[in-house]
Amino acid sequence: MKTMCQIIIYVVLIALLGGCREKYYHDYIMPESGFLIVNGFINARGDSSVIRLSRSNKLSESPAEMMEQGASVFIESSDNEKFPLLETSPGVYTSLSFPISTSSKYRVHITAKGKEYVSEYTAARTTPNIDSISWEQEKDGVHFYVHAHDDTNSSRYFQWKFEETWETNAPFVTTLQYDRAPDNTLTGVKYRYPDGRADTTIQRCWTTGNSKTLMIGSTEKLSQSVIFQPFYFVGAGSVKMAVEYSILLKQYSLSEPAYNFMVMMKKNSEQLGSVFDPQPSQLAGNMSCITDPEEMVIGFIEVAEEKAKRIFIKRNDLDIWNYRNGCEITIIANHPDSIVKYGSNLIPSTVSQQNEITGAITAFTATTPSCIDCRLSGASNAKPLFWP
Amino acid sequence: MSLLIACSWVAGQNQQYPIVSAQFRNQKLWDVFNTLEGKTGYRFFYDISKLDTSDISISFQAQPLNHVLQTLTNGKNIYFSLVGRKNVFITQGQVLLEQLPDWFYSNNPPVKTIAIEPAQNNVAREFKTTTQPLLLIGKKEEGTGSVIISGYVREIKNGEPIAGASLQIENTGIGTVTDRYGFFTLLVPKGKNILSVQSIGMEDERLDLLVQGAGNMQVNMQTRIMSLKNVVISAQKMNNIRTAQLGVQKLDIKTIKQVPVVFGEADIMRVLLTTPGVKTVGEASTGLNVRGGAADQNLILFNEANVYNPSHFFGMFSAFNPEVIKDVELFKGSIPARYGGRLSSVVNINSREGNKKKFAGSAGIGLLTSRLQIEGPIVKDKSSFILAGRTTYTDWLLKQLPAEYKNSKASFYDVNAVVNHEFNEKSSINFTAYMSRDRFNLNTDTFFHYKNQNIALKWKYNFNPRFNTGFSVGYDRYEYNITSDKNPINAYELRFDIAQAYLRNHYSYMINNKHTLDFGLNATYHKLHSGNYYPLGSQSLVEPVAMPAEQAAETALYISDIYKITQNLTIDGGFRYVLYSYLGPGTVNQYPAGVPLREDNITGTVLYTANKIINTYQGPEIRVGLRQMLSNTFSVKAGYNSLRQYIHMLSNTAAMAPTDIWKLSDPNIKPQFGDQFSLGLYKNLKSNTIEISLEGYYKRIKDYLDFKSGAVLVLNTHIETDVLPTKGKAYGVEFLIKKSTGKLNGWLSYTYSRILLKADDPSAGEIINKGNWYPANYDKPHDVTLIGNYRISHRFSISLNSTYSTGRPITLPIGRFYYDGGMRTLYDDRNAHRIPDYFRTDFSMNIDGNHKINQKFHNSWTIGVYNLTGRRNPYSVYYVSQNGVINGYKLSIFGSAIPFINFNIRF
Repeated sequence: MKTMCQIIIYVVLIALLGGCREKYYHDYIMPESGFLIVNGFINARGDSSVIRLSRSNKLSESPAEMMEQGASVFIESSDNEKFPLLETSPGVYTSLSFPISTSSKYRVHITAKGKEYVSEYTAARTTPNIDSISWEQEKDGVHFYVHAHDDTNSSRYFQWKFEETWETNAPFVTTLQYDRAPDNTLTGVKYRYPDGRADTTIQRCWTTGNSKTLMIGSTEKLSQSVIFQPFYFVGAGSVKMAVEYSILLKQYSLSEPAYNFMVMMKKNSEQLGSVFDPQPSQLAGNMSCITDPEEMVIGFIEVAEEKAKRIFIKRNDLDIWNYRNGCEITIIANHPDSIVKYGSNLIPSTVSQQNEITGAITAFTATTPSCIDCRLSGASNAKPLFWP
Repeated sequence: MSLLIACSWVAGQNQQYPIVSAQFRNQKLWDVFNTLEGKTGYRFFYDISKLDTSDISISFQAQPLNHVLQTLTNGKNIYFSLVGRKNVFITQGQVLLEQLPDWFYSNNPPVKTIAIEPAQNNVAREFKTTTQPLLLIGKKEEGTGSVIISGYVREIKNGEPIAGASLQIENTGIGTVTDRYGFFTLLVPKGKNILSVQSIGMEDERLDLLVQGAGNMQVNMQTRIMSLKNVVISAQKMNNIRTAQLGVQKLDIKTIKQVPVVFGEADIMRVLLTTPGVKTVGEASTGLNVRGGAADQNLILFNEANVYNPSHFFGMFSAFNPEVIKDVELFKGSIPARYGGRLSSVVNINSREGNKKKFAGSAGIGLLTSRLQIEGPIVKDKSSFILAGRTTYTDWLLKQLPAEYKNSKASFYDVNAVVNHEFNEKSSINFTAYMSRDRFNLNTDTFFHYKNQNIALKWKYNFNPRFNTGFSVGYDRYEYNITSDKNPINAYELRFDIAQAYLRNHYSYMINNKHTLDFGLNATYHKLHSGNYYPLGSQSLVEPVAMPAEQAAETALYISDIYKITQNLTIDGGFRYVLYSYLGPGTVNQYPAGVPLREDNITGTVLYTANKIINTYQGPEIRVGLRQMLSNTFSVKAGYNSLRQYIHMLSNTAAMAPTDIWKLSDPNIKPQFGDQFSLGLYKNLKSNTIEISLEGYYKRIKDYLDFKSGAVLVLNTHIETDVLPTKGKAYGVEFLIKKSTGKLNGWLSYTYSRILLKADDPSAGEIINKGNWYPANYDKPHDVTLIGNYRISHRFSISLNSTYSTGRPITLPIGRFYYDGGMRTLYDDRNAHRIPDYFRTDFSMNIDGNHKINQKFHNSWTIGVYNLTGRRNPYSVYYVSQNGVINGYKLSIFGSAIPFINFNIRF
């Protein structure tokens, strides 16, 4: 709450005083980096746990995530049980399901590049259910809110992650394709299918994305642990709600130290830049390096329970949603010269003019490929299982 | 007049004198006079300290007394006068008039006030300072030696006292400076003296005194009106050289108003920032960092009232209305023993006194603020008032913002009232009331309010000319509240307040020409509520949290002596003893000895009842300054100061924010301690019109509070677990060259300074930067400032202000990593890097209306440009994760040149 205001203070000051915010990169020599980053949680319900290992790198280096491959990862209990995690994709280590005892404590034990790392032992925590996800359409877009409560008041600190999926539809169908001679020269257009039907496989697509910002909240200052918190926002006119949209919200109850770790990480990376900002500070999670206690290792591993809820929003549920796809149709004479001149970057859509007698196509409509093939915008045409 | 003297001289020659025969062998002059007194029956008046101390061997054979005296005084730079019936006055340097002109006795005043009539014509006339009539002081007293003269120096037109005026008895080395009430006391040898009085912005006064005995006088000075002819300044503005204090800056409002500032609103704090050794973290902050001190280590006094938050409008303006201010003093090196409670400086802001003769006022209008001020007598020549207010109208500006901020509001106002009353020459009273209030809301659902309230009453009483006292009581308060009501379940209000009530009793006693004693008592009762958080509206589930009130009593006794050991060597030694008690009711967390103060180490809490002393801190503070004159215009000074601070501002933001909270020292939070050694060289050139000073200092700080990573400061009942006592060291060199008079005036300052902190105690719970020294947020090693003002004509002047400083330290990211789906930043050691250097130039023009003295309204315009070069000075550099990618940004408050205009009217 305070920080939001601070950011706005800065925006206002800048607007008032003609001040400015410019992109800036400090020219200094960065020290050798490469600290181990441990991200994930031990699944308190005994389902498989996923731990993601990566390395930090310098700002001047590639912005891609540097996955830590070939590490040996175990979950250990205070009763000396050991459960291995296997590298299921580069840097992602997954365990089989195993029963979690409420009387034991658990930690991760990692051996990477010859060094050993452990987290502190923690006991399993339970997470209350998400009561509901509500949304409100305002001028600027759709705002999402999470509602939850814990009657026992034992869960006070929460983290949320989400997975959003939206359907996109290509605005134009295609019944035609370019026809080429054996020497690959364009000769004109022909039907895709002998019966002249359209290709429907590239008309409906789905895109899925994960939350990138840290979403946390606490009820420590409330008399009852009741959560009513905005957590996400989709801007007006966004493609995400052009057809149908779905969000799967995952809720985790955190311990206070884990919450503080997240708060600090959030402050350090998302909330800087106002006039009255707190200074960035060093992160201390619950991981440590046994081999070299001086070495920094970032991460907070707890035994957490995930509770999830999904909702759908159809475009009809919204008042007005002015999504503009920017697609246009061009009519091109079915002649190689015209096609080379006007249609080389386009895909033929439908017949525009036919010879009434022969039925030969004399002119056709064409448009940019992404207006016909929804996969070209980075989406997949495989319908997700949960999609109605 | 010269004719009269000649006549009386002739008369004197005709007189018959006794015939003397005597023989002296190896005798002192005063023995000779004693013998002559016995032989002739004449009485001799002289100051023994002024007489030649060599032995005399001489004999006289039947010579008249006047011939004898002629022989004795010849060549010794002493003169004799035979006055009235059998009196001999021996004077130094100049012959004493035997007789005063007849008109002189027409009122028969034992005390004569010479008032110089103001110029009645439109063009200022030049005063010939050597033609003042002789001023007779005191009733005739027997004996020789020195007597006390005391009185006030006042402005002639409105009767306002002039503080800091320098009074010198010429050719004697006797001198003093008026206090803030314009009061002075001088120990003057009897006989004829020339008193010269100077003050900045005033015409010099030179008065011929005939001191007969102890007495009072009033010196009326005239504001220097710009004359068409060049005024030759031969003033002896030698305060900087003569006092034993180091590191003192004094600026009067005239100087302050000349310095161009953003929006054209004269601003004390901004001008203080241009003096050496004073810095701030950035433009949106009026928090001063004096010689490596934090923003909360300054005692900011407005007529004795402590102003906790001296800023308006996100720190863009200081909270002081320039229309009521007379001058400001900054003590950063030698802090007088009467002040205490803060580590690094005292900013003493003095208001003007209202006009005691007629009603007057002024009004001003600028882009963002407007001002109105009225003043006048309540009882003519006895009491006066000033009432002044300022307000803003920034809402129109906020309306220009993009749509999402259109509903933003920001405004402030402040009100000053000053009343002075003089009961009689001995007793006077000053009443000051101050209130400021700020209000802003920027994202429509959260409102910020804050306000300062101060009230102070001071009574001054002179027991006798050597001994006076000041007695003041007052109440100071600061509060803020934040309300948010958009989300009905989380709707809340958060309140904070801090207040103090104080009683101060100060005595000043001039024992003799060598010793001046100051002593007194300060007693302060602090009370604060560090947070009161409660639900707003019936739906809100916010659990009320009320932080318990904290209270403490701080009592100090002090004494200091200005001891003139020789004419050239002066010591100003002070001692202050402070007793601080943290008082109940309250609860205190208990920790086992020797373990880090962490929440999990709390073994329990102890509850204390009301007014029970929970714990006590006490200790002495030493304030010593030493001055050696090397020549009339060159002195060297050395000083040592120690101070303690029992009240801490908790803020982990870089700038001083209105929502920072304060904390009193308690059993778990030790008071801060600081001491400072300083050394300075002072030289004046060109008849003291150019002052040059070079000062160096080394300062140690103990138990300054820095914060642990991720500290929670608000509504924290165990705040000691989130703060980190650090050690600090600061050192630096400050150079200043200042020309305060003439067509071209201004100053150039250069400061080299460092402030380093260290947190290396593992038992404190956290080590910062591996226990190494690290620079504080406001460590800016190099700083150069030029303030120049050139008067082109009497109605038109231009000012240029230029400043450069090293960029302040920041903590920068050294790498990136991914966590929970987004790219995150990895930060380097605290304050290991710096933002780019700062450079800014401002320009302004002051255009006055005509100078006809008798016209009803005088107006003036100030037009200028802030940040003339349009340089985008970074306020901060930060890296932020946006859509999973880290971007670096440089944030500038002023992105271009900002023109401003201000209109003032005086009536």
